[in-house]
Amino acid sequence: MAGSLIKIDEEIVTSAVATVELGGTNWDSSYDVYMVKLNDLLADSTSAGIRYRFLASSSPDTSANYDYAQYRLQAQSAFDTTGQTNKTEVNFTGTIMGTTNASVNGIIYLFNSNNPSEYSFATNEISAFYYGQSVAGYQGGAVLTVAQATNGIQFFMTSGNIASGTFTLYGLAK
Amino acid sequence: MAGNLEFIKSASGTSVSEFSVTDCFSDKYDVYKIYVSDYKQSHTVYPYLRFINSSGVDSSSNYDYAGLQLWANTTFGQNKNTNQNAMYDVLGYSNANEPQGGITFDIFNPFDSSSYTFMKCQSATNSYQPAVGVKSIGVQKVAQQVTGFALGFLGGYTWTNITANVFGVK
Repeated sequence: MAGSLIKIDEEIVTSAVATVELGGTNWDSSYDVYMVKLNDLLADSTSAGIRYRFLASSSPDTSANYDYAQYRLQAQSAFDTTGQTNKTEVNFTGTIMGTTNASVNGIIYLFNSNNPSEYSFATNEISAFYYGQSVAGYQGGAVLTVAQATNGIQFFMTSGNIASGTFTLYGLAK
Repeated sequence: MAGNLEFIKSASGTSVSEFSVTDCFSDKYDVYKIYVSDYKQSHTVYPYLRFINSSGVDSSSNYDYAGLQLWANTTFGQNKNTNQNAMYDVLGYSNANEPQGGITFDIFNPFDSSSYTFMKCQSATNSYQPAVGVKSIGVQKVAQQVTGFALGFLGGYTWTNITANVFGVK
């Protein structure tokens, strides 16, 4: 029997890059829901964070139409929340990354990507290491309030580059 | 077309204080999904999670964790700690010897000897409060090769029965 989690695209970063994109020309519009796996992401500088945007027609949508709400679990400090509207990117990690062991790991689900009449949504569950501290992770969701089809996701740093890590895009087959 | 969520193994135990699932992590996958869907426990208490390395169950004081308890009828609770000998309070609070809901957790980088091992968890359990669940994260701050995991209790409490299924995300 065929499986239901189908790999569509993968980027394995072994030397520093400014951005990583999944989908785009590799996008497969056969699915209603997509899963993005983030594993062992490290930065090339400390105290940086990673962000994402959706791709529309294979280019990142940089419009100020992203809303998000996050609940942050963290072992060394009180839990907290953050919510923003009309931003140009989605914050799903805070500013936490480091160069060694302080990695970001997690799962993002994408919804409504292929429907040009609907907004594109995402949920995220992150388990990361707050540089110099302890485990922390945002649990939350985001929406791009533009009725358009999207065909992927772009990751980039608040400062510096993505030094290493594996980014994988899957489709959830019905 | 072959899928990319691949079944690795199923393990079961009865009347066991520390339920170990060994040799389920390898260099074939970097992320794993674990489902615990059939279990009862002898006492109303939180279980713990530990990792297994080449020497056995690792109870060194290198576990950090943070968990949010979701209760249906009262304020949500928080559990967090650092430098513990296990991840406590991260899997869900369950009544003794009653049928339970489910626990699912993801493990990141267990077999990579140069990275810490991370986890995230969600559960829905049957406790003295209605509809309780947990969302939690944790890390073992040791760069080592982890080959399995253990779910257990302090104080000699036991799993009446438990089954865990392990999948690799390829």
